[in-house]
Amino acid sequence: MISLENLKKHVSIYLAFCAATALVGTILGVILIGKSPYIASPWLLATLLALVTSAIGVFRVRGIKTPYRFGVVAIQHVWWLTSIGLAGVLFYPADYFMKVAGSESVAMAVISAIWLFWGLYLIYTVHKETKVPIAP
Amino acid sequence: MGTEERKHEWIDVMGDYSLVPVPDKALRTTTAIFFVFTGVLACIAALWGGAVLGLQYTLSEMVWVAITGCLIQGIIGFLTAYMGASSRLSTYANMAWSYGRYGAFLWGLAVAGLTCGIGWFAVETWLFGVMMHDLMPGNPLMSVGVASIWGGLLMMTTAAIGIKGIAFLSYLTVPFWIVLATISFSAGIMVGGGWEKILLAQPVRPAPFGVGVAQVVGLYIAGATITADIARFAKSRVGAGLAWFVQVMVVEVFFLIGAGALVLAMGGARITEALLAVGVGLGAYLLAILGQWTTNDNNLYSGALNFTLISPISRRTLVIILGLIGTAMAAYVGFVAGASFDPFIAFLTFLGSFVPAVAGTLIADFYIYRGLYKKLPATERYKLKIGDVLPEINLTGWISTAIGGALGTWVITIGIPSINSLLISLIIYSILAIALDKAGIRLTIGRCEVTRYGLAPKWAIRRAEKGLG
Repeated sequence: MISLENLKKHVSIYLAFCAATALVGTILGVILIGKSPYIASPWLLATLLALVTSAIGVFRVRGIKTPYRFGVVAIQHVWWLTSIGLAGVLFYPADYFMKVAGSESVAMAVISAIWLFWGLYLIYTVHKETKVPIAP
Repeated sequence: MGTEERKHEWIDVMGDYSLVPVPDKALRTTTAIFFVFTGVLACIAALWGGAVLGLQYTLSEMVWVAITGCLIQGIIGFLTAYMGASSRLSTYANMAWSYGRYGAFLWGLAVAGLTCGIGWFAVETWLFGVMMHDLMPGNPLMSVGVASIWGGLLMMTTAAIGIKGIAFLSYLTVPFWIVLATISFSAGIMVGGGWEKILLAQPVRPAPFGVGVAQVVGLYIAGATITADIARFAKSRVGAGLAWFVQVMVVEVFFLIGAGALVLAMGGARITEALLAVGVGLGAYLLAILGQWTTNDNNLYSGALNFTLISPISRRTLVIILGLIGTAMAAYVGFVAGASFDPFIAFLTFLGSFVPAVAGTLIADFYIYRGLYKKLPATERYKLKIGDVLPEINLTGWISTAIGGALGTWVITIGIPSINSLLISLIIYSILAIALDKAGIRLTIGRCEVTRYGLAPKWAIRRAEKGLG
């Protein structure tokens, strides 16, 4: 059994990691506008969605006192990032992105995979420890 | 728990609180409701709706058509979602006040049982088959008919599980789908010649402004009418309404314009084709599968909820029966008609004109008759109480809906048909209900007492009591 504080710490680290990496992705996306706006626009949408979700999540999770409420908020934010991670794993390695921004795309694909798999693990853990439904 | 408290406990014989109020323990956050609503919207049909606009309007015209149509949907859906979150009852249970219990079933059958549960489910399943066929034309498992069969069966699974299954799929799909759809739009625009071409592009089949708005409204009007099926699970009444309004005004407008721009650039709604062209192969398949799945499980779920009003069998069994019928219809169209666009457009036009009359009656009863006239608080207007008596048939709702639907659909030729239907039924119901109440006349047939089984039919109650005994 993991204590609520430890679980909160784990979720907060995940959200902070997502926020930091999404910020890096956003900066890369802005640089990409000069190379190809057609590639930069979906890139920026994905990273900005992740940045906003994770940044808000960091602040929301911090203030919650009850385990159930924490579970609901944590799972909702982690789901969103997990889903963006799934999209990222599929689209960053595509030729469309690799041709214009090869190394940046590889980096974002790896980051997306971390968002995805770490997120899935966290959803399971938070669900197990707080008894909050998988889709609250 | 005391005896007094136990007396007021609801027994949910049909499953997923189909005919009883949703209890506190099952309520969900506004975010969760937003996700489920957006999951319903994240579908290929929304993109095809945008594609139809792309054939008829320039980019700037399309923006105004999409915003106007979505605003109308947003307002209607806000009102019905607020209603559902106030009563915590499904659309069909809410309809028991304005149509009577059997009336709720019959009109619900038109709105959701047949249109959503079987009609939309079949159309979306057929569209799924078309898309799978486009993705892999040579594969026999991906022929329109065969893909409709396995797609339909797949979509039945989460609907059979209920709100938990639908919410799970929505959480997984929504952000993924928004990102992939954006890539599809960008890639398609780039491949098709860029923004310069889109800004100068002229539509192939120009149409008046009102036609496009009616198409946009029609695309999702059934969904806007039955928001209570999901909103009844909302903790916040205003939150439920806003969850609907925001997803329509932001996400749907984006989908419509994106798909329309894709048509202006590429000459067709080649959403998955654009993804395949730029190497997002697996993404294209998942976009098609998950997009249709999140929408169609809701269609089926709502359709089955309607049938619980008169059916002795459980909601889950109903989902399976309706799902099999819808799948068979989709497969039939798939095998016979192949990948034709026409049935879809005809279906949209019909829905856009007639279904809003039901929404008009519901809104008039809840907000005008019980709200403004009777001055009841929102949570008391459709509050199901054990021992209360409801009519089996309330003719006031029948008359207003029949007149509103008929005039709006077939008689009045100016304006937007769906809005005409809605406003006529709203006005007729308000006037009739208030006038009849002042005159002390009841246009009702039969009486139905609310038991601890909610609005469950007698044979379902007998079966449940045998089981309990």
